[in-house]
Amino acid sequence: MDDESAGTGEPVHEYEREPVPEGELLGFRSFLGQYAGEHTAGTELMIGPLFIASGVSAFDVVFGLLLGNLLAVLSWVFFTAPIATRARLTLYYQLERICGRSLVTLYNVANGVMFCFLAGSMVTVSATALGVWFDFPMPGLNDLYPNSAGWVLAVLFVGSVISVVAAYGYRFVSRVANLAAPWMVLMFVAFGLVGLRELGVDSAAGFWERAQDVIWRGGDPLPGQVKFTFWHVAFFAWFCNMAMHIGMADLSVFRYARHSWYGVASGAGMYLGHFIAWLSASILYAVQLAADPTHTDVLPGPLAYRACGVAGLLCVVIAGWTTANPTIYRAGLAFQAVVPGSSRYRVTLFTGGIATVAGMFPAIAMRLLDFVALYGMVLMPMGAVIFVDFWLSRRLGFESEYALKSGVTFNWAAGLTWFLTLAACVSLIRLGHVQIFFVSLPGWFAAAFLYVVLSRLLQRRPAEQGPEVSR
Amino acid sequence: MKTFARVVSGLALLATIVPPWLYLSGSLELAAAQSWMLAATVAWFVSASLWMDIKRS
Repeated sequence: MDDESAGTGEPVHEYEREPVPEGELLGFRSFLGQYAGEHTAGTELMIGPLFIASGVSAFDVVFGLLLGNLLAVLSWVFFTAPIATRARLTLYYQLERICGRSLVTLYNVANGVMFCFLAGSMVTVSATALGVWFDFPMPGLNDLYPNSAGWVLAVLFVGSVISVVAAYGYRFVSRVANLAAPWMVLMFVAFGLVGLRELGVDSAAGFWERAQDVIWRGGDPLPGQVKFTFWHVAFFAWFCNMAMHIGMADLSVFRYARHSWYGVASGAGMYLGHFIAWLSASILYAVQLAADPTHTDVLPGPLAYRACGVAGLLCVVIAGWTTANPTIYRAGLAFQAVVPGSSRYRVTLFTGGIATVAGMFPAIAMRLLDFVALYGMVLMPMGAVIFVDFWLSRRLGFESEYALKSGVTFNWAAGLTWFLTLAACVSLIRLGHVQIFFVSLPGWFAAAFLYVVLSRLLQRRPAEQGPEVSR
Repeated sequence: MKTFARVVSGLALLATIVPPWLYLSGSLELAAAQSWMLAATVAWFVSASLWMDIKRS
């Protein structure tokens, strides 16, 4: 959507500050393809193995993923898409109308930083493919810092290429991503099939027994990892894209949908990427552990190469590259919104530089389960603000789109909701010893409640407000 | 030309997924399956670039 025209210099109308008109709406298939492609990404090759490292059992991972992904799809269908298809605005513009320009700028910085680290983990994934060719020491499961000059150079090379391409030729990579999507989904399935054979499975009947005894055996997690249960898996699957559904980032996507039920298209991404791809990547890691239980490194390049040869390596490089690229571009857009006059080219290069440096530190990729949960938690409160503002404001006696109507540039009700919710979530983690995977659910209700109370307390009466701006 | 490219693309996708199935069932060696997958990968990217619509949502 916005991204397709990036880097071309073409004056494509992206409806950044107005509702998408009827004639520009897209069909269901567009969303199916988009979600299937975006959620079968390089990071799936990290997440699958990390489930095994977390000591998950076969029942917990399979049924936890089925439930969590269903909840994620329902979140898109009932939270994001109904607002998107009514307002038809981007997340940023809708937030600006509620929160004011200054608060949205702060949100953009937080969003941009999160995107940078996420892109960094994708660069890490791609760089592991270079390790197969050049045979330099690569980071282990519990490494936090770069552990060899070869690793630093590999990440620097991959990150630089991705950054320059994101700045110059975004459209080219976008095209490669579209081309790669169907092939990549099949490659992920291939990883699983080859891995199953390596583990001695040669029929559907034998799968479940091997799944319980060899692949997802349960028990203690590997040293340094958190033990995952059914509920960890379900909540992780539900909330790993929390920023997109409950956090409302995908308002920008579904504003082009004809009907809100198009939200079910997200199921293509959830069940291909966050079910089949995660399980397949898990299986590859199980093969490695079965061969050598002390070899706990999670390195997508070598894992894929052992299973599918050069095609597997290409899959790792392309999966990391094509998903890091739009992530760097989106981070650049977020930062550019902070400094509106800045060059998109320079901002994207700068953003790519941060992502590259982040990618050198394996801590982010090796702790991806925690990072993804943190990402959702940080952006979730603003999703609650949008939800309450859109559906409940008039019924509960306060003004919707308060910043637009009052002219304030920092809606303190929304700002305090964000800060206090995050403070409450962090307190729950630090003092209440609640794991990060579970705090976002109560956090959402806390944010919704706070926004109602604070809006009623802090909004000025209509008579005190400035002139109303027409919508 | 486009029709031909589409047919090749379909065959390339089949050649991506069938060899691992055959390896799983024990009818193909891993090295052969990997070679087929690499050839299918090249065939997919070349043929699909000739017909696949670049504009997405």
